[in-house]
Amino acid sequence: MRESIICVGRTGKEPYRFPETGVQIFSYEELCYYLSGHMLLYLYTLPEEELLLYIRDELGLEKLYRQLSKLTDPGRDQMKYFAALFREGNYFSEEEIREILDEYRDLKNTPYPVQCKWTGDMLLEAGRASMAIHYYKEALKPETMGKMDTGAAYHNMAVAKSRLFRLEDAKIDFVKAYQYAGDEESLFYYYALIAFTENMEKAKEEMESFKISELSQESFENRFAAIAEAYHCSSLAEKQKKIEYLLQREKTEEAENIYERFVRELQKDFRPEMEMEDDLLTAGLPVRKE
Amino acid sequence: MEYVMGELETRKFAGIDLGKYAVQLSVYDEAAAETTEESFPLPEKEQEDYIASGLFYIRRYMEANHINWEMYHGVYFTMEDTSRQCRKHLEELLDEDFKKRHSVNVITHFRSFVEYVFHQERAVWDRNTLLLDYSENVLRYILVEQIRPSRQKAYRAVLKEMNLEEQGIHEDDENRDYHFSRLMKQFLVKNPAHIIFLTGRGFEGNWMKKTLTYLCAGRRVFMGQNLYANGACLLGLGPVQLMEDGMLLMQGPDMVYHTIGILTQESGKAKYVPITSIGREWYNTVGTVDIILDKSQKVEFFYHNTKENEMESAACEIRDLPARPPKTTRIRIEVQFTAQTEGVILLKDMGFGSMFPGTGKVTVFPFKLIS
Repeated sequence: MRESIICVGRTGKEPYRFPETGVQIFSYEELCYYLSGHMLLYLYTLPEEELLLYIRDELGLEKLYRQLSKLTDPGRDQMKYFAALFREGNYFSEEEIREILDEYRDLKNTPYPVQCKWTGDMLLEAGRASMAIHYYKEALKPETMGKMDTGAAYHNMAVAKSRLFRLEDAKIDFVKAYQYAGDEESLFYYYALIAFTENMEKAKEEMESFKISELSQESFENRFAAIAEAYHCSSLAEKQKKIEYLLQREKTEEAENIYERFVRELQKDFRPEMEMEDDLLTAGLPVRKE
Repeated sequence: MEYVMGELETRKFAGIDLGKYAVQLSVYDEAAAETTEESFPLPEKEQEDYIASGLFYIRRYMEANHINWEMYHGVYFTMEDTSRQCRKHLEELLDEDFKKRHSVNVITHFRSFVEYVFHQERAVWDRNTLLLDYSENVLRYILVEQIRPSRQKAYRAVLKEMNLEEQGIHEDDENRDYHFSRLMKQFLVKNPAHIIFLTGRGFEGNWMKKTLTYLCAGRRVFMGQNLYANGACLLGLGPVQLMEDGMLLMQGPDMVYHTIGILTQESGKAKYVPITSIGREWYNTVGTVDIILDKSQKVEFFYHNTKENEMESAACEIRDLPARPPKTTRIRIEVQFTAQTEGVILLKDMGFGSMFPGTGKVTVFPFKLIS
């Protein structure tokens, strides 16, 4: 006989947005699924108090709210908080809950720099470049990670910095990543950044100083050409072409209008993430207390 | 400092019995915990379309007393004939002003009586209770009895009909009282009852002497024409818990006696969870539940026949869902009946929030229950 997992509580009319990743949830089951995959973010802190209010007011789980409220005391074992939350419904079986909590325990016992590196990776994947950089810096600070992990942390930090248009910093980090891990992928990103900010010739010149093989050089050129081609087919390139066309026809006012709209759209997408970095410098993120 | 005191809101529920010969209006006032009753006999020429006529008298009464539909928190109709045609006719006759504020709730006389009984103090329903409805020389009776006297008690309400012509009882017969009292003696030996309600035009006319003497011996007997309207207005107070718990089996036309449910895990053990409950008319029986699909895209339903205590199952496969990880598909299940033992289960893909958006695709799974 087949058994079903019956949902508990209500579906929220409004979503709850996790501040770290920006992921939105609407139900208890989504909350369980999200938390089980993001336990790494709660090694030194619990989810914020607003989540408890959401559980009570939007999901209608008053009993769970009361239970969790008692477990938010920093002196208490955080494991109890998550155990109580997962055991409220039938979303996870007892065996699955044990596995999640065991994994959580293992994460807690993982060396601190590695924890920070993994957290950075998770945040980068969620599109939170500023927060990711913060954790990569925290991971690299003690200089205790192995060469491969250090290289990977520099590489990913460089990717995050590129997303924030901090291209000069990113170039330095890609080079450091290559120096630690020896992965040509980091070198390609470096090559691409130079090609993008300066020109192909300069990029080629730079690669010569790294003494990469001709085969690798050819592969970099081909990959970059493919990226450039993909960009030419994108909607962004279409807008760019339109602006250039209007300028050629001396329709300056129209071109400027489109350009302004184009910039505003880009700012809308990137500015919150870029501004977040400044906020982080003042507010800070949950990290291990010294 | 000035205090403004708001008027204390009290809820009122109306029950309207659209009978062929008269329309009854009962209004339950929750604050006073009392019911007020009105009755409007229908002239013979207005009896053909008694639904329209009944509504006309109700509207006239409301206008004369400056009452509007807004003043009631719930309005519930009850009729002897609750066929699709009659329900549709009533719905057509109700104006937009009514529909803006209320949904059209129609229940059978059978259900009205049972609601009335189970909204009374325990003494009224904990022992056998009988309703005799005598009209046009037909005796309809409803017997409410305890069928499981264990810790978790269960009850059964049965609706049956007896043609009195076949029993040798005629309306114009001068010995009707004698024959009727004999019939009652035989009947009550087989169906003992401690409380008896009498209703219907057949009991009018002061012809009962022997019958009443016998019925009243050691029993509490009540007589009135507003029983169904009273039961209907009490629906506003909320469902009878025994009915919700599936502990009240209603045996009569249109009444659902199967529950549709699914199995789930509770403390490591399998547990049957009904989605619909028994004891209501099929057109008033709906149920909904949200589930999460695990590795499989199949949902197994279990149909519990509460009359025979038999269970059967059927599996429904949901096709063409987008590929998602296990446990990231929420399915909203809605059970609707289209007849006493038939209906459809609708399974809607709700996705999983913003992480895995739903397609809104609905799978229709018809069911036919073994009766």
